[in-house]
Amino acid sequence: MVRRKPGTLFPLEVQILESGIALQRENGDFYGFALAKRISSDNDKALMAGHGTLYKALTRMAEAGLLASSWEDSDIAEAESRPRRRLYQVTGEGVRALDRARALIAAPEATKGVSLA
Amino acid sequence: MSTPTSPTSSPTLDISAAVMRWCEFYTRELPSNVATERQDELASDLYEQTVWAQDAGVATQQVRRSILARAVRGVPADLSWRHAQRRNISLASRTAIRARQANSAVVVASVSAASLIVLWGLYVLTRVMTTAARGGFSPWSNTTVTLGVATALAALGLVLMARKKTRALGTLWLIVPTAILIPTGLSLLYPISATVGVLFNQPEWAPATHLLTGGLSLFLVAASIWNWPSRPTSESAPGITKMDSL
Repeated sequence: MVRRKPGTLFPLEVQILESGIALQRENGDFYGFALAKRISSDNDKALMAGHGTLYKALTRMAEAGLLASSWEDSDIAEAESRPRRRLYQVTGEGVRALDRARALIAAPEATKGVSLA
Repeated sequence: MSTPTSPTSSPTLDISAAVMRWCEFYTRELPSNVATERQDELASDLYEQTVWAQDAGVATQQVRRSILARAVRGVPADLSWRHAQRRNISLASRTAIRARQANSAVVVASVSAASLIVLWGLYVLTRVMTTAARGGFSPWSNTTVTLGVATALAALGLVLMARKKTRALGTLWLIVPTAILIPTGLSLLYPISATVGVLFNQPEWAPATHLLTGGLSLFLVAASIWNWPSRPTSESAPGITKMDSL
């Protein structure tokens, strides 16, 4: 199992937050498949995240307070003859975690830039 | 679990059913709410991918391959998620068992202490009454009445301790009669008990009596705090954010 420093994010979690924020801006919230599709298109990849990988990450992030989740009203799902969706929103803590992760990614690049100059 | 609504002519019906069977397999023996939520979320994902593929004109074989590949790539995560869920259940049940054992031990110890205090009061009263009857003098004095009242108060505390709701109050209640019963009982026994008479003159007698009374009172205070019904519990340690636990 991959270990990480407390407070840091895995690349998939960064992608979930980035794509989730974009979807949230468009629709107010997002659900699993929409997110998988968005991550795949944003990263110019043909492969979508595995079911287990995606939902395990979503569960973990919701438990950590980076995402808020709620089940869609079953009446809406029934009216559209489809299974109900679990809807997610990126929380304020999620936005801050993404900012920190971006800063961490940018820091070595900035250092590299300085040393080259 | 809500029934997944799949298009009746869906070309992915069989592959979706296989993925759902795998999901039912790795969610078996998990708490029903955890299992149902995972199954519902996956059912929604499979449905949405099928509908999206139909709308986008994706070839049937391609969408079937994509669903199967997503399921296969997720297998290690499915299994580690299951392992984590089962570990959480195991930890939670172990913690609950330990908490129950500790609670039982505190209840047994405090009820035993309370019973001994009441029995002590009754024993001294009986000794005083018996000796008075033999000697032909009245057993009633201020000290005897004080002992009788303290014994009755201790018995009331014991009754309060019998109910979970009033156990903490009963334990706290016992402190006053305990502080009265031990020294008063000993002073009443001094003239009528040879053992107490001998021990009374020892230099360790006074500190031992204070130690016993103080120790019992402290124990009763601690047991009362432990038994207090609204013990707050905290989900996370202060200063540690949820993000740090990721």
